[in-house]
This record gives sequence, structure tokens and C-alpha cells, in this order.
Amino acid sequence: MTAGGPGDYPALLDALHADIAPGRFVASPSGRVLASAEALGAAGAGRFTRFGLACVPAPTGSARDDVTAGRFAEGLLTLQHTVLRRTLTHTIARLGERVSEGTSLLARPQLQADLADVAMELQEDAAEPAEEAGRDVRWARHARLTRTGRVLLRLLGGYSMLAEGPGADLYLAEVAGNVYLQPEPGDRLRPETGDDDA
Amino acid sequence: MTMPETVRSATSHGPRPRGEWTDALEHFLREAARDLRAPGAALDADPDAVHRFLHLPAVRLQQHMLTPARYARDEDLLPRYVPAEASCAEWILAAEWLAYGDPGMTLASPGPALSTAVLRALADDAQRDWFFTRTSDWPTWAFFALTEPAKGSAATELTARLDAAPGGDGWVLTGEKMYIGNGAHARVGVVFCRRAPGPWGIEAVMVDTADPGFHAETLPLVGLRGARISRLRFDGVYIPPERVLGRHRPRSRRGLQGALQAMLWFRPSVAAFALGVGRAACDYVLEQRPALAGAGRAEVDGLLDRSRRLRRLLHEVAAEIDAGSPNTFRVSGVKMRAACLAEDATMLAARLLGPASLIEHPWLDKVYRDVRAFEFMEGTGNIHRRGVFQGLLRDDYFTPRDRDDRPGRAVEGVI
Repeated sequence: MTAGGPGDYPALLDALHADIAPGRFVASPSGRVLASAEALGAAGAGRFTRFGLACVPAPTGSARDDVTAGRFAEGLLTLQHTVLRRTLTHTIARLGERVSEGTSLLARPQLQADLADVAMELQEDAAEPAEEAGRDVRWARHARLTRTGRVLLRLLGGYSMLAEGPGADLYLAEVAGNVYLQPEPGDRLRPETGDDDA
Repeated sequence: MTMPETVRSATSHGPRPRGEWTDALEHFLREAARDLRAPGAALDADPDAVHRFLHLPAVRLQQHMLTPARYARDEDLLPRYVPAEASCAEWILAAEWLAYGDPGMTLASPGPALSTAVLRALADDAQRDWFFTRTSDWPTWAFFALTEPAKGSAATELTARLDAAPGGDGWVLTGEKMYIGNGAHARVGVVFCRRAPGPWGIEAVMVDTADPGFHAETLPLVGLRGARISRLRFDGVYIPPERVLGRHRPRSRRGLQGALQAMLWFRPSVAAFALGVGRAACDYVLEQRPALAGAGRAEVDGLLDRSRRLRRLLHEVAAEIDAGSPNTFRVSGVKMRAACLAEDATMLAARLLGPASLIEHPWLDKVYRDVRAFEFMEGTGNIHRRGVFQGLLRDDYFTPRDRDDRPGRAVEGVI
């Protein structure tokens, strides 16, 4: 599995594990590890293996301390942001190739507005302060990025459902957030739509 | 169970009265849907596993309900109150329950699928015989091929070509179709193609997939794998003259009209699929968290309320279709909003069931992926938004509520 285009989320996730905890995996708060099936030696009939991913109980020696977990969680959000930026570029290129009623789909105001909204959300997300954030802040950020990704998936139409396209990467980013970033139900949560609540 | 004779002998798809038999039908559908959860999971792992479940009554429904009564053959396998040649209202009732069970299994089931609406709209008797005698063989899948790789489902812009065959007898079909349900497994299908420039140059032709020049491959999907979405290629497939649908009609009432009729008839089905899965996701949360209270419970209740409102609107648009006075703008609105609801419901369920819920609840993970397809099936949300806007411009979007007697009706007229 190599990084560099649609379908490489598992490889990017492996790289994140290696960067944050060299030689080990980082465990989720619920004691699981999500990584490429290849890295986990879990090739087989697992539910996620067709996407190149596996989720297993954290192997012995996995990093479980709060500091490492926090850095990994921040890294996951950076990864989700990166995949979204790439998908935005991909979406613009793909819609630009499509012609309807004699003009590019990119000439449609609705699509222009959707793409601009995605760009503004990503720009705002990139302005997130670099200091260590709490779990609730990270979850809210993940939820915003997920909604942003869903806008792109809608713009991509049927193409977004192809397992070898960007839709699969965005889905895996959502699964990773569900495993590593989602707080326990009793945790205090910020409103997911926190932007309007100031 | 007794049933009005009008139900059993109905051969048209006009409205039928609600009553005891619809209650029985709904009860049957609810029970049949229960059988679909485990097969749905198997299909998610292997889309071709549908062959292991062909004995299930729920898997027989699509073929029976979408086939004209004179060709339907499942009288001994399904209760008598399951109608053949179902009305739109009857089919959405079935579609919602079947999707509540599993949407992938519903779309994987053999039968004429969307093509039935094209046949109903355009075909002569000989053409119906040709098509439905084939789709009545069990199990037989059929496809409806409109969408193209570079054009989406814009019916007026399609590029697949229908050229006169050398020698002048019949036609030759050339082109590609994309995102076609069951395309690679079908025996027959309806293909929309262009014979001449302009909207009246569009034709709908019946294709036998055994004919030379037909190629198909199943596409690997993130979700809704049971639909076995396919890419089709037609390399000079010969189309005999009698397989051009509506050849007895004027050109203005042939291919394009068939496409529009089929999309109009099936958009409510997609809304019904979405409502079924959305409701299933809410019910699943309440089953798994029976003590759920506070804000989480309020969110689930809010979604169920939305679902009830949309179901009412859905049944209204279906009744309008059955009555022959469809409102395409309202159909668009219901379809788009139902697709949103399904997505919201699965995302809410994933959140309320806690960290790693997509790992711990395989069914939830499956429908979490499946529902994304409802957004673009039978037209994307943006297309439907434009449709609703067109309805507003024509002052033809809002449903007249003359018979409502709720408080405040007296002041409504001042708007």
C-alpha cells in the first residue's frame, strides 16, 4: 500500500502510527487499533479488509498513554483535513470535465457555492490553534470535517460510491474518527455546529 | 382474509382502496423484512450471495409487484393480497418495509426493476410479451440503462448511439452506460440511446445481454453492494426493429417520455428506501439503548417525526402519480429530503451508540455506507433542488391543504 492518491488512506494511517509511536501502534480509548490490514497482519475476511484496513484489539506493546493518544488524535484530524483538501481538488477537476447544456458543470452557481463552502470550512479548520485540544474539541472538529466531506461526496454523485475512489478514503476517515476521536456518551460535548454559537 | 375483488383482478396501476387488505399487506411486509437482515450482511460481504436467498418471500416481491398481472407467476409463493402490477402507492409501501429489512437485498432481488415503468409507458403488446416473459423466468434480473460516464443521468444529453444497421433492417447500438443496477447479471434491459439530434431523437430499446457486442462489469462499491452497480459497453449490438420501444408512437412520445415516466415512477421508491433505512436506524438505536433519554432521545424522536412527515408527503405524491396527475416538483422534494434523513439517521445512530460503534455494530456500519447512494439514485440532490425551485417559479410546489381543519387555517389566505 503506497500513499499518493485515492485509496491510500490505510497507508497514510500507518505512516501516522509510525510517526507518533515508532515501531508500535497507537491504541484507541476503547482498546482497539485501526491500521492497514497489511501492517496488522490481518489480511483475510475482515469487514474492512476490502478497503485495505483492519481493526483489532490493541496488540501488546501498543501505545496507550494520554500524551501519545492526544498527538495521534491531532494527527488523525490533520490526515482527514489532508484527504479533504485532495478530494476538493479532485472534485473540481472532475466537475470541470463534465459538460451539461453546453457549459461546464463548474459554471453552475449551486456547485460553485458548495465548493466555496467546502474551501472556507477547510481554511477555517486549518486556523485551528496548534496547542493541545481536549477530546470534545477534537470530536467537534471531526464532525465538521465529516459534514464537509459529505458535501463533496454529494457533488461527486455515483463516483463517490466507488470503492477505489475518494469516497472510500472519506469513509475510512469517518471510521477512524468513530474509533479514536468519539467521546463516551457521558462526556461533556461541544455543540457540533459550534461555529454559530459564539 | 377476504379481499375486494378489485384488488385481485386489477390489471391497471390505478389507485386501490386502503382497507383490510392493505393492513394485511403491510403486516406481511413487516414480517418479510425481518428475514432480510442476515442475508443483507452476507450480501455486503459478497454481492453475488443473493443466489443463496432466492427462496425468501421478500426476494420474490420485486418481480411479482413490478410485473403486469398477466405475466406474474408467484401466486402460490406470495399471499393473494400482494398485488402484481402494483400501483406506485403499493410499491412504496413495499419498498419502505423491504429497505427497513435491507436495502441491498431489495435491489439485489430479481425482477424487471425500473424497466417495468418504461414498458408500461411505451411498449406494445408484442414488446411486453418479449420482455416480461423473460423477466418472469425465475430468477431473471433486468437493467435500466440511462446514466452515462460523462453525462450522468441527463436524459436529453445522452450520447449512446443508435445507427441504422447495414442493409437497412434494424439498428446498431454503440456506447457506454455507468452505475447500472444489476447490469452485469441481467438477462435483458432497456437502454436509452440517441438515434438523431434533439430530444425527440432519443429512443429506448430492449437489449438481450446474450447478444454479441454486449459487455458488462460489476463495479466495486463502498456501500449498497447488493445493487451490483455495473458499467455497460455496447460494441455494435444489433437491435431488431421490433425492440425499439414505442415504435408505434410519434417520436415526441417515445424514448424521452419513457425515461421521464420511469424516473417519475421510481423516485418515490428511492424516497421510500431512504425512509425505511432511516427508521430502521432510529429503531436500532432504541433497541440498543432502551434507556436513552435527554438530548439523545430527543434527537431520535425528532428524526422519527421528520420521517412521519415525509412519509405522509411521499404517500401523497405516489397517490398523485397513480391518479395520473403527478407533481414532479413535489416528487423531487420528497426524494431529496428523504435521502438527507437517511444520512442524518445513520450518522446520529453512530454517534449515539458511542465510540467504535461502526466496529461494534456491523449492521450500522453497513447502512451507514448504504444510505449514501440514495442521494444520487434517480437524480442528485442538486437536481432535485432545481426541480423544487422550478415548482416555486410556476407556483406549483406547495400541496393544496383545503381539507385541513387545523387551527390557523382562517388566516392562511392572507399570505
